[in-house]
Formats: sequence, structure tokens, C-alpha cells
Amino acid sequence: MSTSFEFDFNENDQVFKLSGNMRPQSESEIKGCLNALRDSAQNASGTLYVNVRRLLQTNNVAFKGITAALAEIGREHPKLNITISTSSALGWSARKFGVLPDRLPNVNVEEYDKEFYPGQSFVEDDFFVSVLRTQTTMTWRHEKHILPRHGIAKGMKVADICCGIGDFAILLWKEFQPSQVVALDHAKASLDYARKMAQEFKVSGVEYVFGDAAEILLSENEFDFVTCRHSLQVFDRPELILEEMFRICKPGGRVYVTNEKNSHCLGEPRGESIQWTYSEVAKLWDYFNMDIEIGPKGRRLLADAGFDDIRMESFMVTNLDGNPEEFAAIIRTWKHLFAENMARARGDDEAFIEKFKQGFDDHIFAALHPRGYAGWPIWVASGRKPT
Amino acid sequence: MVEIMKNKKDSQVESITNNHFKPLLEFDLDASHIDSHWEYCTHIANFVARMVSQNRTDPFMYSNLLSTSLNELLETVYRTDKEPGQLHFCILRDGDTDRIELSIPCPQKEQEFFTDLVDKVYAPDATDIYLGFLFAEGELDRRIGIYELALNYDAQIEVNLTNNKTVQLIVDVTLNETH
Repeated sequence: MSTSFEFDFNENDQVFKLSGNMRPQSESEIKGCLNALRDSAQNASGTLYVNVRRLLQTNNVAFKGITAALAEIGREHPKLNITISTSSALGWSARKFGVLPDRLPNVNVEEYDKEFYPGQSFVEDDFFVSVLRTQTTMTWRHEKHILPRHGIAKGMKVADICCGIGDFAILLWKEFQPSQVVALDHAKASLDYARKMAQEFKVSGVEYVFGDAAEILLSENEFDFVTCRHSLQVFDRPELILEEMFRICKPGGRVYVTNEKNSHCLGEPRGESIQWTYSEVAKLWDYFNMDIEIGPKGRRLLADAGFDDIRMESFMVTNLDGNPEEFAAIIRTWKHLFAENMARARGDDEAFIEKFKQGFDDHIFAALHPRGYAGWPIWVASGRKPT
Repeated sequence: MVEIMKNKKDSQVESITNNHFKPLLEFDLDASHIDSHWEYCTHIANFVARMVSQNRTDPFMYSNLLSTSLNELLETVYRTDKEPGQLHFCILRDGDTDRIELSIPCPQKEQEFFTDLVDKVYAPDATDIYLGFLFAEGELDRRIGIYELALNYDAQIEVNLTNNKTVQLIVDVTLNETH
């Protein structure tokens, strides 16, 4: 039998979840699963969700069995709607399941993509993407010295989850000569950019793959070192991403995360205005169910996810690290993103937005002032997956 | 003598006759081995897919898609009556298109089965026939895999009758997402 799959019904959410590889020779091999699917309908009302986002592989024997079970549910529970949630990261499933609504009127098929991340649309703004490279340039000056303290070494198999435009993966590949880097993100535009840059820099050891950080389709116990930078803070359920990072990490391997505590951004002169604005940034992100204050919580999050030997440190990106204009460019982007996009989306009035913007302008002023100092603190946390 | 079925649209005939394809992987397998191990279908599909997907735009997605389409083909072959001999497998590439060539030693009736089947998968009623297989009572109709390749993977499928003991399936799939 070519099957290694799992199924589970969450009665609370009315979700029947099917995952793994399902290529049986005969339908009898998946009988238990099909019966459980039928039974789940007995305990559901309104809408039954069938989640096949992590059903990596199937064949027509299994598909015919699932189809028959759904048809039977439709006959026996005509008032029950069935929503099948497929993954765009798999390529085949939306198309395969997409034929069912033609014959099964109570079934609809959704291709799951990024609705899981309600705040993510803000940071996929093109204007924001343009400055991400500068951010990485500035943080890399610190991280290339920090990473070895958290366990990275030559020849490792590395995964970079939420890789964005992929520049960190390229820097890792150049600096630490891993055997392979798999860089995953759910934003296709960012991946296109990443592949283009990798091609331009003749980097062949990085595979950029499309996927959902909370439901990674890579195998368990596959990677020596798993990174996720500035991303737990963007998602409303960071624990799901850590759970997945734990899963794909080899026993004895390490997971490395970096995050911010934006209210601790600082600068002089005009420190008071700067501090007020960044405290408001934290409240603004919280409004959109994102935690830009998550940095110092890394130790607890890693412990809760099951890691041991947790190491933690912080560093400060400042206007003195390189060209102060680089620092100023980052703050200009934040001003646009936070004040023009997010604050307006929250419905803030003009008076608030003007005061809010002033703090960013003052941070830029401090960065460019000949005697000024401006800082952006970042927390690094890593943990070992127990053997 | 190679007889190429010429009942497809012009572009398909052009594709099948183009010689820009470069071989990536080729092997022979005793026909009796695949008959004895169902799981060989998925193992071969996964192995081949992973081997040839490294330099695709999204290696993981490509590998999974190619494995899925290869597996449909191999499961169809598994259900084919075979003569003693070697299954010959070859995967070739021309740009974004991969070509799977699979030669199966089989009796005359199976050669007729494949030529008849491939003749029909591009007909206007192909989707209805595919859905008919899917919603039918009883055992799965083995024709469904070839229909799925044509309908869900936009595969261009050809049948070569290389001699009176072997049928060769040629399946071109373009699965690479270039942007």
C-alpha cells in the first residue's frame, strides 16, 4: 500500500482534515478514513470543512472514494454545505477537486492562499518591498557574527521560512556554505524577485519554494538549521509557524528567529516624539492582530514550542552602522506603511496621523543629524529540537 | 517501423516530432517487478520527479506535480496486461516541457486499448467521460488516469506501435511555472 496519511475531525471547527500521501491500490485500504469522513457529517451542521491542504499526493482510487463519500453525505444531509479547502502550493489539488461542484451542488472548493495572514497585505506593498534589501543589508552586518553562536555551521541543510525577497538566504549561502538552502514564502511576487536575484548572482544552492509557513509541505526532521526572520510578528498565530519549524527541524538541529519590539526604537534628539510614535506603532499592529512587540517573547515562544537549550540576545541597528541614509530610508518606508496605509485603514483622523508621522520624521532627523543617534533594536532567539 | 498516431491537432503532431528534447533519465525495469509491487508506482514517480525537478522554478511544487502525473501513468501501466520483457522509461526535456516515454511489452489487445483510449481523450465529451468514471459505482475504470493527464495536466499524449509486442506512450507535460 502506498499510503501514509492521517485524518482527523475537529468537531468544534467542523473541519475534517486529511494529510499525507494517499495512493492506495484499492479503496478498502482507506475505508477507515472514508467512514470517518461520512461520520463527521453526522456531527456537523451548516458547513462541513474538508481540509486537504496538506494532502500532498493522492491517486484516482482515493479520489474516487472521497468523491463517493462526499456524494453520499450530500444525499443524506442535503442541507449541509461542504467546503473543500485546497492548497495553491500543491498545484494539482485545486484543479482535481475543482470538478466536484459540477456534480455535487452542496460542494464548493476554495484554493487557500494568504487569507490566513490578515495583516500580510500591508507588508506586501511594493513600496515596502523596495526597502527590504536595505533592511537585510543593515541587519546582516550583525547577524553574520551572531548566527554561528546559534549553531549554524558549514555543510548544513538550512530552511529559511518566510524568506520574503530571498536575500537573507543568498547571504547565508555565500557566508556559511550550507549544503542546501530551501527558502519558502507564500508571496509569489517576492519569490519571483528572489529567483531573479539568485540567477543574477549565480547562486545555485538556494531553492525558492511557494508555500504556507503555518502548513509547510516539507518533510519532518529534514533540516539542521531553520530560520524565520521578522515574520512571527507579522502573523496572528505565530505558534503555528513555530510548530511547523519544530516539525521540519532535525532532532538536535536548531531553529533561529529574529523579531522586533518596535516601541523600543529610539533616537536623539527629539527622543520624546520618537518614543510616542513607536508606542503607537505597537498599538496599531495589535489592532490588526499582529505583535510587533514579540521580540523579547522569543524565549517563551520557543520553550512553549518544545525547544531546549534556548539562546537569546539582542542587537541594535543604528545610523552609525553604515550610511545614515540607509537607516533613514527604512524609516521613510515605515512612515509610509504605518501612517499612510495602516493608520488610515484603522480609520485614524488626520490630526493623529500628522502627529504619528512626526515621530518618524524626528527619527529620520536624529539619524541624519551630525551628532544624532537613531536605533532599531532586534531580538534573536534560537532553540534546539530535543533529540 | 514507428507509426505515429496523427489524429491529434497540428501542434501535438509538431510537438511529438520535434527533436529538441534532451534525455534526463532513462532506465529499464522488468515488467514482472512492477506487477508484483503496487508501491513501485509511487516510489518511481517520486524518485524520478525529485531527480529532474532541481532546476525548475519551484522545485518542490514541480516535483509534486510531476510525481502526481507520472503516478497516474504508472498506475495505468500497472493495470495493463503485460508480456514478459522490459519496461523502458525515459524522461526528456525541452524548455518548460518534459516528455515521458514509456515502452510497455504487451499483447495486441492492450495496444489497441491505448490507441483507442488516446484517440478519445481529446474528444469534446472527454470531461463528461472522465466525470462518469469518477462517479461510477464499483471498481475504478483504468482509463481515468490517461483522461486525467489530458484534462487536468493538459498533457499531449501519443501512442507509438513500435512492433507487434510493444506499445510506447509519449506524454508531454508543461508544468513549470515560469513566473
